[in-house]
Amino acid sequence: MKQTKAEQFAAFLLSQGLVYAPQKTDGSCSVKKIIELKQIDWSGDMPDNSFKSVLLPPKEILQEVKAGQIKVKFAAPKVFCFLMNVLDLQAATLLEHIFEKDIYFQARRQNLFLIGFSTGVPGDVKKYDAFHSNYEENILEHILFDVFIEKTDRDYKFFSGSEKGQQLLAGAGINNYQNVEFAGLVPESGLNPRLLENKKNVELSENSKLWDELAQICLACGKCSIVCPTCYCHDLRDEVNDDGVSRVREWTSCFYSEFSKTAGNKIDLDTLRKKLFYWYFHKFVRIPDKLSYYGCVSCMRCVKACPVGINISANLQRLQKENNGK
Amino acid sequence: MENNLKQKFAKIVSVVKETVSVSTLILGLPEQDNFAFRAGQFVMIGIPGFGECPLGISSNPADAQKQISVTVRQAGELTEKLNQLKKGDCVTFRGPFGNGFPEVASNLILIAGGCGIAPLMAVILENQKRKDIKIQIFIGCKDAATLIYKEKYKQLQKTCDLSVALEQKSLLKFGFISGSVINAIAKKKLVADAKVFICGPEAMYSSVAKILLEKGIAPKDIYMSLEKRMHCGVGVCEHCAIGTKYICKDGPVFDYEFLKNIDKYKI
Repeated sequence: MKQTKAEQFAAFLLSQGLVYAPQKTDGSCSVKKIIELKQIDWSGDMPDNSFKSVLLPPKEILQEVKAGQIKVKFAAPKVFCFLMNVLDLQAATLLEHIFEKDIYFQARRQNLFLIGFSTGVPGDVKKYDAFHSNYEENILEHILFDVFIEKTDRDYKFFSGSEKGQQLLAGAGINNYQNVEFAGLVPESGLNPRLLENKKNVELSENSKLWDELAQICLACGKCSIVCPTCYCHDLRDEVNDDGVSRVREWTSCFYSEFSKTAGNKIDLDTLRKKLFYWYFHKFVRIPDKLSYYGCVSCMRCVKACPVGINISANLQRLQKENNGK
Repeated sequence: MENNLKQKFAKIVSVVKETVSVSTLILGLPEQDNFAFRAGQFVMIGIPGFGECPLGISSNPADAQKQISVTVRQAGELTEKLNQLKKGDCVTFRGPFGNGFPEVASNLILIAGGCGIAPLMAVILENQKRKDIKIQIFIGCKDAATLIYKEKYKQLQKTCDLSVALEQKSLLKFGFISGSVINAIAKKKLVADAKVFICGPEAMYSSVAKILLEKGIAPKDIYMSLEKRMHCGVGVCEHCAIGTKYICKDGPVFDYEFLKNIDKYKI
């Protein structure tokens, strides 16, 4: 069967470097390293995991101390994050801004391509329960990507979002594409009303009974923050090897007690209630306050991963009800 | 782009044993680094294999190109190791990080609890010779055995209004009063038109704020230096978030106008 334009592009990427893309096995969809073209899932379904581990490895070595010398380590192979949905691109956009002065992240990003994919905006809206925002018509202008592919009824439309993306498309022999200029995180129309609404509701919720109720069932397993594409909390620590000491950056979770340990072994977030509020406050207040951007992209992975069924969307609706009229 | 996470080595020029569990390390810095800091900023000091911790710089900012001092109180494995180091040993360092105390254009009231005097010492050393401002200092400590920088206070009394409050009676004689630092502040007439810089255990902050507000000092003129476990030092790892801010990047010094809304520091 004749390859589509998008498949030809994917084949080109496979010849150029490591490709991570959604794959379906036994009915479940997850982002994995792709070896063959046929492994790629083009359905546009939300993968169980995100591309976070490609952008920000769960564990990376920052420097090594050997024989009294400190040597910085960089690893930046050519990597393609392929078929990222709009929500995962929003999460990548957030990480890009958080780590904008991080030399390790930026070195990796130089050789890492964000390639977005949509099966068509109306289809996406049905697919994702996007409680954090409305799909704006000019959504591509406010997210970072190198190449974006939109599936239309007949064919695939290509967009470039960076010079790097243009070069990649040219290298793949794709000349018919549209340039999209990044216009900043905040749309011209101003901050999204839902973002502001969620911010206000969480800000006012410190005394809400919701946190007590959630604390009764939450296991503090941290699965929500591990699957979350926008959670980037990490530890910096030393690892002693046979021939020296490696300084590593490793994911952590604010649900772990170690996270907020202070001098003298005191725990700052010493109750589940505090941990839960901290997590929501970070996503819906601190990040919007800092960047005027979403700290949660409403991918609902945390809902799927939670062993006790805590539902972030339902909780935000509850806070909205509690704060009505305040 | 600067690599804020890369550690460098600094050689220990000398060590002052302050108390049984507290030492001051004087660190020589490579001259080409042009190291500079503001009083109240901190550095991340470590030993490979044992991690690193934030320590406020206690020396005069004017001497920063040659050397800096940090005072280490034994509180865990790393600080225990740091306390065992000797002249000639090396530590890792990164920084300086944080905002530091604001520029001083008015009188100063400095309030320290225990080892909290360390970053305030940088403020004192930087400003003590100025004729245009008055400096009033309150230091609270458990007893004379745990008081640090003892050798500096006789000299300091000549240029500053110094009160050292010891909660347990001591044999030392000069200028010490018994009782808590709160009582010392309550009894004293505070210098007018002053900014107040505070550093000490978090437990003392709301009571100090209360007495200062009672004495008519505005929340915007009260500055508190906070401490928390920090990893990156640049506001990314999320360990030291406080409200909408980060202690390492937006602090460690915050005015009480901001802190009065944070549960822990509310009166």
